[in-house]
Amino acid sequence: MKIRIPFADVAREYYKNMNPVLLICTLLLMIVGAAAVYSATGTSGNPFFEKQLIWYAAGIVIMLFFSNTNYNSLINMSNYMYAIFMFLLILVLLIGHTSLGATRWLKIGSFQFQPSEFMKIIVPLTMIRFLLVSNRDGFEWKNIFKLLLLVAVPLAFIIKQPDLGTSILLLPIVLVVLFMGNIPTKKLLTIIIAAALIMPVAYLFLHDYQKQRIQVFINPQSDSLGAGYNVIQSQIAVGSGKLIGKGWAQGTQSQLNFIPIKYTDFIFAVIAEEFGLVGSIVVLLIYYFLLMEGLKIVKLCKFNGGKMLGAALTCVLFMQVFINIGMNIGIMPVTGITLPLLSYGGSSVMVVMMILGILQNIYREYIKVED
Amino acid sequence: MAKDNVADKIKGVYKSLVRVNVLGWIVSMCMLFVFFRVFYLQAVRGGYYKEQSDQNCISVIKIAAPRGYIYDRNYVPLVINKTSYTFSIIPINFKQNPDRQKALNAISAIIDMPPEDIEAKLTRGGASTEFLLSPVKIKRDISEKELSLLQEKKIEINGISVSQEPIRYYAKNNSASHVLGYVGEVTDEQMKQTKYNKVRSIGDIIGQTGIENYYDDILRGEDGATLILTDAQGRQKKEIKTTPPKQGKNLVLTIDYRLQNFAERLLDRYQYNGVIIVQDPKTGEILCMASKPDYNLNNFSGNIDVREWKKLIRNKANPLNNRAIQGQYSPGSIFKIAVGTGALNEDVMTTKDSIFCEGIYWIKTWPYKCWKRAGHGWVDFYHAVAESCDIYFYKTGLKMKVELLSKYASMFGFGEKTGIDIPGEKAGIVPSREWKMREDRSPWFPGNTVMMSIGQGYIIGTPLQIMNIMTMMANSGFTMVPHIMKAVTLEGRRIESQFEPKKLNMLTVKPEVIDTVQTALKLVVMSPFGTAQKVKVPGLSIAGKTSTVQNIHGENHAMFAGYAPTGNPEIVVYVLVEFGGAGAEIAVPLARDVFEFYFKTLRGK
Repeated sequence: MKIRIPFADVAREYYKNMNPVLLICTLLLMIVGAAAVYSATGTSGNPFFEKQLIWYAAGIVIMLFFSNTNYNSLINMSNYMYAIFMFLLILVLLIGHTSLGATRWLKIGSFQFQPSEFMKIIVPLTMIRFLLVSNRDGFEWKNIFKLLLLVAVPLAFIIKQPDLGTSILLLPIVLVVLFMGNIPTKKLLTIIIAAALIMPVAYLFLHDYQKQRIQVFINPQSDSLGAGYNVIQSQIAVGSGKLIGKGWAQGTQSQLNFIPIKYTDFIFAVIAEEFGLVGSIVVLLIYYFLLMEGLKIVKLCKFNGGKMLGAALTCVLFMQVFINIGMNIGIMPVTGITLPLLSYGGSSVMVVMMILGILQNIYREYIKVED
Repeated sequence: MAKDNVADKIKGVYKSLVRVNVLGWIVSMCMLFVFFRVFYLQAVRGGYYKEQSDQNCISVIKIAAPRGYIYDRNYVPLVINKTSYTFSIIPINFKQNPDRQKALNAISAIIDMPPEDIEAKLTRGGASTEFLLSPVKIKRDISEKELSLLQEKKIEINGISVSQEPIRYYAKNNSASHVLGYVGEVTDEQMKQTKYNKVRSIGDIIGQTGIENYYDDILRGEDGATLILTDAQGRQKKEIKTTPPKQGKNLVLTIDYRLQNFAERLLDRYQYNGVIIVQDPKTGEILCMASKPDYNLNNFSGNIDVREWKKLIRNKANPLNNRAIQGQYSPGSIFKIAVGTGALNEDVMTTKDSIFCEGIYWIKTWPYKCWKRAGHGWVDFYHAVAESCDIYFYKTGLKMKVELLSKYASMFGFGEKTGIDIPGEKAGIVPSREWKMREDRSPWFPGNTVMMSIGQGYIIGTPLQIMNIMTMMANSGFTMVPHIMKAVTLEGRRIESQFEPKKLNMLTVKPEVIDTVQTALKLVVMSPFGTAQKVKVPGLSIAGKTSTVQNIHGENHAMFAGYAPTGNPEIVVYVLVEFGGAGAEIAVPLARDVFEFYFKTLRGK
């Protein structure tokens, strides 16, 4: 399926050979996302909805840009980006903007910018560059430690912010990069076991509110009007949608503000409440096709770098979908992870569109070679 | 080297293909898990969560239903409703007051209620009540002055709400107060009882005593409700639906207000504490049940006046007590009817047997006196009843022994509740050897039998039970379940259901025994020696029996029970005057007035 754009002839080079499944899924998600954000933020004088449309438009431009930027060059220059973003992370710590008890943002004028979001892309890029450069000795323990150190430093800064959501995402990214880098299974298992052993220790270093979230996840009723409130209310919203939902902009849980931060973290609950099981299944299917297409691109790609990158980025998308929907339906603790393209928010949309752009590029490079 | 490289590469490619597939499976499994969870929440548990979400956003504001009216048997209204203003606080709005204590104090000053009490009412349902949208009732039936002051304060203080509410109005104030009973807020203990299942919320009004309580479910009606859509902050978005309340059904009582009023005024005239009951023996309908002292029911509707309540509670005469069914008295000589019936039926005595009464009877060294110190001389059964000779019944009772006395006491309905439709009825006591051993840890003495045979000592019963001895004779051998409720009616006097008369006790004795006793009861009134001659009403044949009940608290209780007309009894009248003295002197004239009023004034004979 080909999308015809007015200035097509001039720009044909820039959008030809796009992966159709990925593209259709992207556009479908935008439609669903626009509808959901519109419903979730009220209907009159709605700046959120208009802003979200602007983010989508900007996102499409960014996706086009990255689908035309060879991912190998991204890998090549990743060490610079790594350096720049490490600097930004330090800057966040020093002069960052604080909101809701977390210091995650840099303020440039009225524009807010969250560097940690981008680490979801930069960390795998840097790791891949390191593995490609060190080539066959890549999986010596000495190298693995260096690699982990490379991840650990930004991770420490991100945890310090605190941004538990992004921190949690980094761990599977590291594992997937190593996995697709064909690390020997034994070593991978050793790392996983070691990580599992460190987990309980890490728990001690969590902030109180983070610990509370985990406790509440295990037993939401323990604090049903406080920390458990979100978990209970979003489940009520999802469940009460029943089979066909309460109708668009008709969900009592969302319209009457029983679901908190409904247009970002709990947007899935809004959709599930208003469109019921039917709506939920549609959303799940779109994501499933998207993720499977991502993995198909990884399969098609002939280069280790592309494979690792594609898998890592697909992994980022998958983790966001799984954790976000998971927390909406009470199978994951509440962390500030957004739902790709459905949640309201500039940084979130930008990063996801970047990821999709890079995946498109990996696909297009493959097509180019095939041609 | 190059070959190795190629082989390695092929291996590597294969390996990575496998690993992508592994990732694919992980993703698929996780997504499937998510799907199952969503399916569970929406398809399996959807109904439950729908309910939860409705509870979240729909607040129900109850509209109390007016209670049904209560009429006497001639549709004279006894209990109706009147409009009153109720002051409530809406907790979620009240919470917005900057200084809660100040607001409480201001309200407290207006409605004359300590601020702590108001706070206690607000938080009665637990901590979460402060988020409630539906008003919490603080004071019912506020005065005009309170109303206008509260309306003024509405501007300064958030959460004040005044609503119109029907409250009970007792048209006849004190009349039949014990029968009708009062209403009041449901208590925490009552909320736990299944009887009040339909009562859901704190502050609901239910019948607390009397008919109001016994037929509460009929009188209560169905509360209406306004459903309001509310957001998470408690702001009302819109009204979804209003169900109007349905007034309770009306009750028509068997009480004849004219008779009731007459009886009450009769007791009032002499300032007697006591009971007058009039019953239709054939149906068990209670035409009149007066118990003095009584109280003004209107003190209980709306707000209970604390001073008034304390006065009632402290009053030693216990005005709240319905003596007719809750007071327990020795039946006294009226019980001789049961003893005589038993003696004749068991052939312990015949009407021909005579006993010599010398005014005193000795058991070993214990003297048992007849009320007539000089003695009655030779008395047969008829004389013994008519003149109420005690010695005759001492000796008869001793021959019968306690077993037979108890048997006939039970047959006449003692020891068991009559089942009248007023709550709180007492059962009385039928003593026996086992009973005394259990309760008193002492054996039964002949002296106990002697006392029991004239209705003194351990045997006690409620006035209603004592009256039923006479009803048994009036009906020639059976009693009916006494009842107050005649019919349940809807608007326009349409009758929905009627009380079906039921038999209570049967007297299984030889028919001639009943004849004999009835004749004796007629002699009580007709004979020149009879104790109840003063009951005579010209043109009316009355039968009855007096009782003078000794009691340790003071002067004797005076009693009379009788029925008329003797051929085809229409009413049974029972009179008890506490500490009145001799039945013949005090109770009988009152009974006479009742008979006369009923037959001359009401029936116009």
